[in-house]
Amino acid sequence: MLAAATLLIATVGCTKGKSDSMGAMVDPMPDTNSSMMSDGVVKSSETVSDDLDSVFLGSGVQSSPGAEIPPMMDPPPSQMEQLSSLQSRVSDVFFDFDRAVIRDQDKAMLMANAELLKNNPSLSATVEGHADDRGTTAYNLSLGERRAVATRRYLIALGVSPAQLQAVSLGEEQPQCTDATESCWAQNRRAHLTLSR
Amino acid sequence: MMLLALLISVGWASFIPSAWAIYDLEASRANTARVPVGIIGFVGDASLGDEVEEGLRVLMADLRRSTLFHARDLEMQIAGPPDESLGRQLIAKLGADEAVEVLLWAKLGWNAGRLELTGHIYDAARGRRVVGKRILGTVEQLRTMVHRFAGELIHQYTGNYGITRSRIAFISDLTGHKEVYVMDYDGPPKRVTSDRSLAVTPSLSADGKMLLYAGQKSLNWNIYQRDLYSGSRAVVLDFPGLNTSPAWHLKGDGFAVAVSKDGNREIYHVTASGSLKRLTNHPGDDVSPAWSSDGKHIAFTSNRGGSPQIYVKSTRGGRAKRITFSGRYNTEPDWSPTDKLVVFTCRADGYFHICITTAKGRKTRQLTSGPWDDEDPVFSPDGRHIAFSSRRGGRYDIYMMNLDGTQVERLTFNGANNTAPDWADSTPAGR
Repeated sequence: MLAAATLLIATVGCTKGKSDSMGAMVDPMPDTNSSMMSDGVVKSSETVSDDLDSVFLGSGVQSSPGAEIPPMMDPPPSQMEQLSSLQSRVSDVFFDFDRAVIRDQDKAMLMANAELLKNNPSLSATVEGHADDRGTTAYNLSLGERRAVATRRYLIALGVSPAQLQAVSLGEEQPQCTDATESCWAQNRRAHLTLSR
Repeated sequence: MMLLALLISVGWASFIPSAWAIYDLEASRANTARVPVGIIGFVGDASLGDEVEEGLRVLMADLRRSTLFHARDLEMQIAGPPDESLGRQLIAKLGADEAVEVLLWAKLGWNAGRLELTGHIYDAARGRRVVGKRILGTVEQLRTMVHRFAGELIHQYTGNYGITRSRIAFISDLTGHKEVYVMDYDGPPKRVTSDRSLAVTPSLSADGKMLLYAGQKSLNWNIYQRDLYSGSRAVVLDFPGLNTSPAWHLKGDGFAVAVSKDGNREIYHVTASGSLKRLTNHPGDDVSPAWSSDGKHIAFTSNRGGSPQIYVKSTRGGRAKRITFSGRYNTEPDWSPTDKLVVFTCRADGYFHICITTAKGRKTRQLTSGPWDDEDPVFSPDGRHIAFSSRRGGRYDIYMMNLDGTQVERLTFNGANNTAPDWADSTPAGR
């Protein structure tokens, strides 16, 4: 990873304000010739380059992250039903504002989630940590990660195999509820388990 | 180029006694304290009626936003620029009659199929011209061309081009996905990513050429880099977990970033040579780094004291010093170009707003207020403005204001949510 950073950052310093054939995303400011004259005559001019307004909007081969997930065989219908019915049995964990501490009232429910995962060792779960949209993006991404990690650790402490559990923060980016009310914000301060096989 | 600055000895550039003196200067600079400018003509070919109107509007807006000038359209529409022989008397008389220090004349026309802006700047007191400028472009580049002309006047007084050549990167959900957009500070926006995922926390390099942002890819948040001119792109950091809030070093030495690879969020410096230097080391979460202009300090958000607050730390180590003490939620710091002020998001009466403090946190002011959220503040490259996102209009949009919170102007109008502005100059080196 660091090697990649080395390579790429090293290229920053020698970047020139030129467009390549892909087109510039944002206009390079043109090189300019001084045109301020003291004798009252405009002697030279500066040219705003023609490619100033070109926009690079993707080459068409760019893939969204989802597109890189290799296609999977559909599981048999019985298993699909089972997955969705299992998914309906896991519950979200909720948190206080700016906190990532598992609350007492959620512990029984987390135990049920843990039992479900332990009884179905072929299941994997992605623990998504979410924040309400009050607060700022980077801090909420951090908070979401704390919530996801705290929930994952709690499930592991209850005996779930670490290999079954992955944590990811979604910060304030995917709210469950979009009203500006405390009851809505409370629903968004959550860790959500998405099951897969 | 500095001739006018000498002739008209206002000397804003040298007026830097202390942080709060600067600040109070901004706060108290009413129209009467600005340099009076008269526009004696903004004329054009008959075919360019709309462009002339638009050009004059952009020129007036640039001069108003500079916070240096109070411009009036004298509506004289003089067909040609006053020449040196007759002009001296005319200019001097106009300057005295209209009580202006500077007179501007501009014309739009065609030159070999291109749009041509010819502009002249006169020192009214001495009746002589100090700048003559011809700028060629396309009709679509009219706004940029007028910015160049306005920038010449600002340059005479400050030695820089103000915000006339600046651009703002921000996040918009216009397509249904959060992507990065870039615009000249007064628009229109252009989309520069098409990840169809989640992009957050964009950072523009000091020269406005390179973009960094954090993007979600399956279970990870990675740092991506775009060259805004060539379009080339790369993943520059993909440690497992969260890599977020990148911030370009202002002298070109790589960037700072918050990384969770150590178990909690810590700030690292990825140098231009690619080495990784850890800048914070604390069990609390450290995110949202911002560089001082000399690269010797970072400001950042940390919850090490129990609530998110702004801290400042030397990049050579030592203790982090807290600089925010009011309220329980202060995040997203950004340094002024002079390093004397730090702007940040604060929380008051249940809403998020923009606050500003001196670099050591001795004095703090809340700049915005109202029943809505304002977030993501960032200084303009000339230090005279702050851009931020606000939900005051229902959705989030990018706004700008003066350092004292006055003259709030909305900058985005695309009907989407627009957030997380970062603002950089794009003046070519040596200009």
